[in-house]
Amino acid sequence: MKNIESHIFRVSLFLPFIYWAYLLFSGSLGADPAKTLNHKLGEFAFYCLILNLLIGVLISFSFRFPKWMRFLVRNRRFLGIVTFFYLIFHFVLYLIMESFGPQAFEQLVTKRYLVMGLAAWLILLVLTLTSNDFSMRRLGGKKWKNIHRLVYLATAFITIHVLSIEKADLIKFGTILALLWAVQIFRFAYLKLKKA
Amino acid sequence: MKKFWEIESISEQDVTPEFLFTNRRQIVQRGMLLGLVSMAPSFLFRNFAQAAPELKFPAKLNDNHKIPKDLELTKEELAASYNNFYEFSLDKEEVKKKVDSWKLDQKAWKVEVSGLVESKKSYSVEELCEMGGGQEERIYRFRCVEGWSMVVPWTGFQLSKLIEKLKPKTSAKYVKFQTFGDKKIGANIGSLPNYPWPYTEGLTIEEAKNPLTLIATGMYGKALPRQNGAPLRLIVPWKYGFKSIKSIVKIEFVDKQPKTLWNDLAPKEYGFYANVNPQVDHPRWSQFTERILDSSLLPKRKPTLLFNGYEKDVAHLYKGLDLAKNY
Repeated sequence: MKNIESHIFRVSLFLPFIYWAYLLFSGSLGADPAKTLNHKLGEFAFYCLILNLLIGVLISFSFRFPKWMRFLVRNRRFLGIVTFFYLIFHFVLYLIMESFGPQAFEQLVTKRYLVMGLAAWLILLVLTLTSNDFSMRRLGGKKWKNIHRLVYLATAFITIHVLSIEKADLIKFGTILALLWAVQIFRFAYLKLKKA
Repeated sequence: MKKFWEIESISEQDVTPEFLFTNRRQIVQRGMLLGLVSMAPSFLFRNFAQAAPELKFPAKLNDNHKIPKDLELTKEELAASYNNFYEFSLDKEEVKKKVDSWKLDQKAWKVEVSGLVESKKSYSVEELCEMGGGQEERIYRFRCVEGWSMVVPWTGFQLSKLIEKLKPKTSAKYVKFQTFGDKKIGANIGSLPNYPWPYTEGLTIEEAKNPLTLIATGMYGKALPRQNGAPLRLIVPWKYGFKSIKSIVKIEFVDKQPKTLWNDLAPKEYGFYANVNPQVDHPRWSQFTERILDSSLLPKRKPTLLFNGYEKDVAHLYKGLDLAKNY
């Protein structure tokens, strides 16, 4: 098989989902499975997004991907769609936890971490819907690219969302996010310099 | 001039017959014990030499605190495996594993009573329990500030009865409670250096004297598991759970509002009063409803009640107080 790494990568992105479904149905998610599962879903989507952004960073620095790593570049779109796949469950499970009650929707527009989460979710929804070849052609390369740069705005919202979650591991997520933004700033400066 | 709670406290005397009743039982028990001891071999005599009788489980259910209408008891294994106890872990479901290394010797546990009080001394759990009129069982709703709730049968004694015996001075306006701050017991204390350890909580003296306020030594008819705050903890059912401090080592009577851990760390999120109130949101989430923990993916929700449904017992404590400001 030619793209064995690609296949493994694509399948492995669903392994957490299958594993959690197993934990859920075997009753091993503890006293508050909805909340436990929702944190896992959100966290995994967060790592997927970061991986995707880092691939972008490497591309910007004209990194020559060795052959065994090229599946990452080839599967960026797939990775993005899977990220949103997890985020659909993340959002629906939130609504389930709130029993679709009025406070579920009221909180979405009044509580900071939920406003931020929803805003990021909506941006990523648009990016997912326009991730197909048809949209790329329809919008044209430049416009498409500008729209997809909204991922940085979504990442900014997600930064606030993650850091304001009750009991967030501030050291872990703070470090990850600080490194991520440092790399992004460095890349921005690098691209500016290269242009000049 | 009399304060409103002093007038209201007359109603507390409704409880007196029950208190006498419990005492009478104890007198009979002790009489029987004395009878036994007088003809018993030496190992029983050693038992008698102890200041207070051993804690007995299960205790009799107080008829005024049966299971709340329309609610079910939370499953015991669930209530014993889902605990906030930051001294051990931030993860509620990790705590149960982490307490394994805590070699708790309940007999050696001492609670220091200090401050503006006549009986300044260290007491054993048994002594406190005896002074508090002995054990009884009460089923209370338990509402966490995080938005989940349980229904738990606690075993313990009414704090007001203990306070009566300890004789606080009139200048004592607040009661301050502290948990152990020993890193050797709770290893996670060291991982949270910015927290003002040891865990400290406080009540106004009127809140502490309210007949609902309990010192729990057990739950589900057994001694408290370590993760739930063994060997003794506070239970204030009309307040968010973090007020109900676990594993108490110190009770101090003070004249000023004590600094309490969560209020100190995040004053905008956790007030000193922390009364359950659906109308006062936590800054980061609504308190309008609560998830009834039942380990299902689709947790039941119910509307949160003012003072967690204990309004008629405690609303008088807060007359004239703006609950939105004094959250």
